[in-house]
Amino acid sequence: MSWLNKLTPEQEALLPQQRDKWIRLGLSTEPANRVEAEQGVRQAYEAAGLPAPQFMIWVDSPYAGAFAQAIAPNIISATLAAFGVGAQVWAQVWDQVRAQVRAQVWAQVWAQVRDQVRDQVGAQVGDQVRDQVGDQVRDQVGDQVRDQVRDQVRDQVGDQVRDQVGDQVRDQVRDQVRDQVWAQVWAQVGAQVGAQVGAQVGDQVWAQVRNWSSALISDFYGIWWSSWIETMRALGVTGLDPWEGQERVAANAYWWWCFKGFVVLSERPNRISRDTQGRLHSASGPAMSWPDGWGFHAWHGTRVPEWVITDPTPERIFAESNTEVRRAAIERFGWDEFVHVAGMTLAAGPVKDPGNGDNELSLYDLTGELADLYDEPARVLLCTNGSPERDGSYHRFGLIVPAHHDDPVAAAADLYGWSADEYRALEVRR
Amino acid sequence: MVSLTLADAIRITGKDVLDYLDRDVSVPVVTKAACQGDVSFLRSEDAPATTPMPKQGVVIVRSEASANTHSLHPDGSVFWDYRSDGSLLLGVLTVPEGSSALVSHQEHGALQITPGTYRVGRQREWQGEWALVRD
Repeated sequence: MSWLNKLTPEQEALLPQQRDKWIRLGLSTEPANRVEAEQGVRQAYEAAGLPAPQFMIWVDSPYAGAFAQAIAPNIISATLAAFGVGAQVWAQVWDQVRAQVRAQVWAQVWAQVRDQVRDQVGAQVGDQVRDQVGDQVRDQVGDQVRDQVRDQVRDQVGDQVRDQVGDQVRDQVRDQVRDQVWAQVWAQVGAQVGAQVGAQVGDQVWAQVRNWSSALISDFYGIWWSSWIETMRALGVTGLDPWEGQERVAANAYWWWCFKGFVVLSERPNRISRDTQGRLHSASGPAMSWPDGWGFHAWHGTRVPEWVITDPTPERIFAESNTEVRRAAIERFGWDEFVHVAGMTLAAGPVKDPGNGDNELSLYDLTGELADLYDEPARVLLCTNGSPERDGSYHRFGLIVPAHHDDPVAAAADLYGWSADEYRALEVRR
Repeated sequence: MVSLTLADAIRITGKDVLDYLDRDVSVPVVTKAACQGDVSFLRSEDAPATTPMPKQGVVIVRSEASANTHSLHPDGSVFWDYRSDGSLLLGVLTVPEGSSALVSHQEHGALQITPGTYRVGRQREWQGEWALVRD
């Protein structure tokens, strides 16, 4: 194609479509399309110049995936040994690898579990869930490997295992499958697309897809990059086929891990709950969870332990050392009640809330253990909603204001960027 | 100006509200200043809006995850410009004589805005720095 320097109106109209498509895929809670995803894996390996992996192992959550990819080599070699095919090869390789890089691999495994599970996905996994998932994964991996080995033995492709298991360590496979393909694709785009168009697609598709999906999981990058690359292809950029396999996996499954000889693929979450700003949030159970029951809780984008959602108590709130979690827990508990149980000091008010019937505004101090709840000094403005709840009651809630306020009306006005006099002129506050 | 009930407002805007809100109650009338949840309306001396508001109205604060969307609707000819001041301003609303504008939200019901020009803005909250309020 010719140098793409300016988009036609038709091409521009594609951008929001592409954005919406990939956001939808990123937020999907449909079961993975395993046939499509596995086809994508084969394509991705082929694009990287590697033989297709011998084993495709499906797990029901990223947590299970982190676990499965760590134990799969052992299970594969043990199972192959049981069938007497290619076992020595796996065993050999595994021995060599283990001898040399065992510490490293385990460090990686633990780093992966730590990064992917705690930091990225945010684990507040109860021991029970963890153990159950562990057992399930062991069984799942074992069953799948056994079945797949049986098929392979029948097809007499056991020999291929030997060819495929070289001396490369897993990370090199990932480099080859992901990074090298990415470099190729990047070069193609650079050679065909002007900076302006690149920026346009970046702003309108990639950044927005990233924005949405990063609210969910920061490293679910299959979706980000695929949104961008697929859009470039839709605009007519050629030579991007090597990425197609990964795009297919991203569009049909969730995280996946690739190794020489096997891959681990995760099912999609079956629940994603968000607040009005799109942040992970649920007041009733996990904000995100997967078919095996693993998941995590979140409050307006802050990942929190389960008790914050299910049973926030003043004792637990005061025992919580993480201020972000503590703030979320107080909001969940309700500021209106918390100011009383915590014995907070009334700083000003109550005064009449303009435009809101007989309702009042009060300011409370954050002192003692609560003094460091926010980075800058703050007070809590207690308000009452101007519209009733279903049961006819009026919800009371706390809003945080800068500590310099000592007039509740001026504090309420500041929240809208108004002066106190403007706020006093309110005719209606609903 | 004709006084409207919530039922009238639902008919004019085409936007329903939660079932437990009383349909027979009068819609509050705004001439100077009003707040509906995290959206504010303040009479101003700003340059009037010049973009005719479409009949189906405009969304001023959208909720992606729920039905908690604030929308503006014309009753007669009404003008709405999206304007930003880099802070809380969402836009400027101008209601000519003889028209009115309706604000709809499923939890908060409706407001009727009388002729004049108004600044429409968002609410923020203090988290050690200012952040837009979460509805």
